[in-house]
Amino acid sequence: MIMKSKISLFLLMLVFLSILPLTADEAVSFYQAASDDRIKIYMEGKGESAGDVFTVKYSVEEPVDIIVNEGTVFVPQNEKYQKVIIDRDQKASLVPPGGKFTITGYCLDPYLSPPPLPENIKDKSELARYGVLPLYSSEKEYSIPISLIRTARLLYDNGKLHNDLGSKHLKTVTAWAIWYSATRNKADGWNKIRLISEITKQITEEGAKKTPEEIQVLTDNIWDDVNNIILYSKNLR
Amino acid sequence: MRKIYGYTILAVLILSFAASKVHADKLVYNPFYEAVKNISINWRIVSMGYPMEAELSLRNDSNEYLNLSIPVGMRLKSSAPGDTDLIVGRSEAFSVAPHYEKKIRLVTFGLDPRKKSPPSGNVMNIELMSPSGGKIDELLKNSSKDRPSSLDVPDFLDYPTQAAVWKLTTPMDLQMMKDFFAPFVHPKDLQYSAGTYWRKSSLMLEKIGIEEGEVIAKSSGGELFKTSWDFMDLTRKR
Repeated sequence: MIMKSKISLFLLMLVFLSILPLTADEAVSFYQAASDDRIKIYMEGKGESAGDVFTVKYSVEEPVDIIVNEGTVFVPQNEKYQKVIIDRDQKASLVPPGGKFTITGYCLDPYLSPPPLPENIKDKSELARYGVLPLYSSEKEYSIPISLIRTARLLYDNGKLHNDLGSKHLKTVTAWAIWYSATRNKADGWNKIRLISEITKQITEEGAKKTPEEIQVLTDNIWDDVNNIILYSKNLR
Repeated sequence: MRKIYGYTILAVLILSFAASKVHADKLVYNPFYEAVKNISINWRIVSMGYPMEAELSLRNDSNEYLNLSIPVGMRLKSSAPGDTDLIVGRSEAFSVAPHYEKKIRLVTFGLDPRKKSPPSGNVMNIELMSPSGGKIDELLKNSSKDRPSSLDVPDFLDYPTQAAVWKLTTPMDLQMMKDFFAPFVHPKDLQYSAGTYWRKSSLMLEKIGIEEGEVIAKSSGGELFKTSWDFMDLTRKR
């Protein structure tokens, strides 16, 4: 009798264990998904250096939730395009037969072109296919941008940054903090001189009426924010 | 022996139920602005002619149930330069069955009294933005809680909240408020109505820690959705 109840208990445990995977309905990482034959993923650039950077097209046989983790770095096969770092965890529910979704991030190589829109690629063999490189926090090259991204978000959410550019402000100052950090020893880096020149150029192109004082305030506010993000990110690191 | 099998089956049933419960609890509502980016659905938003009301119609072309939420503070950006942008004033959560169409009335507020409401029946060409988390969102969350039932005061007549939003977004003064209400109110009631909404909106702003003087002082654009630097794109690569 005792033997039989032990067998029953064992069977019960087996059943319990077989149920467990059903309850652990976690999203699979993008890295896992990309290496799974049942999920086909194609990435296309959107021609942007910050914000919405990729369109991810997929085809699947069964529904699956995937997550693109904050800090994942996408490395283009063609070295003339920028590497891209993902700025926050982004989930997507993939449903058969397929579809597309957008992911956001920041480009890491300021001197290179952003991942281009497919229609802007002349050589179709270059169509942006990206290898997926998961982030290792020990890699100094990538720990700096992710720290800047997190710090910028923290400061912005707590009202510690300006907001001159409205919905584009956080994206802009975060991108400039990343690019300034990567190029600060270079004369043609993403420094304040370049910022002033870029602002002036866009005002001229647009034919916008802006006083020198307004331009000065915008430049100073953006540059203050860039410096504060870098300063606080060093304190937090 | 039978007893043991009986208990085993019972235990399996209990565990299966628990497992399905855990699964159901994990059901999350996908914020609308994320969903429309990630899932193939057909949707459009139609203006009802007031800044305080819009209709969302949505068709789920996928084979899955869609569980969507529209949070307070989501902004509907009008592409017509003369029309005001709108902000969602009450959160909505809803499900749409596969291949079904659903219509939802949205409580919205105009962000700029100097612009007209998108005309009634017009399909708004809009850009969806996530909530900013600023003072407007805080104001709308409060007013959404305090608002009397829709039978007493229809949401689309919630003028005090509308006035409070305007005070946060524009250099609003009493005259501007009278100008807005003039077409809707009898001339002899205009002073009283505009004055009432002015005072009520001030009280709503006090609740989120903004004094009357402060509103006027900071209303040089403040949290207005559009900024005078909208054309500027400093992350653009040449």
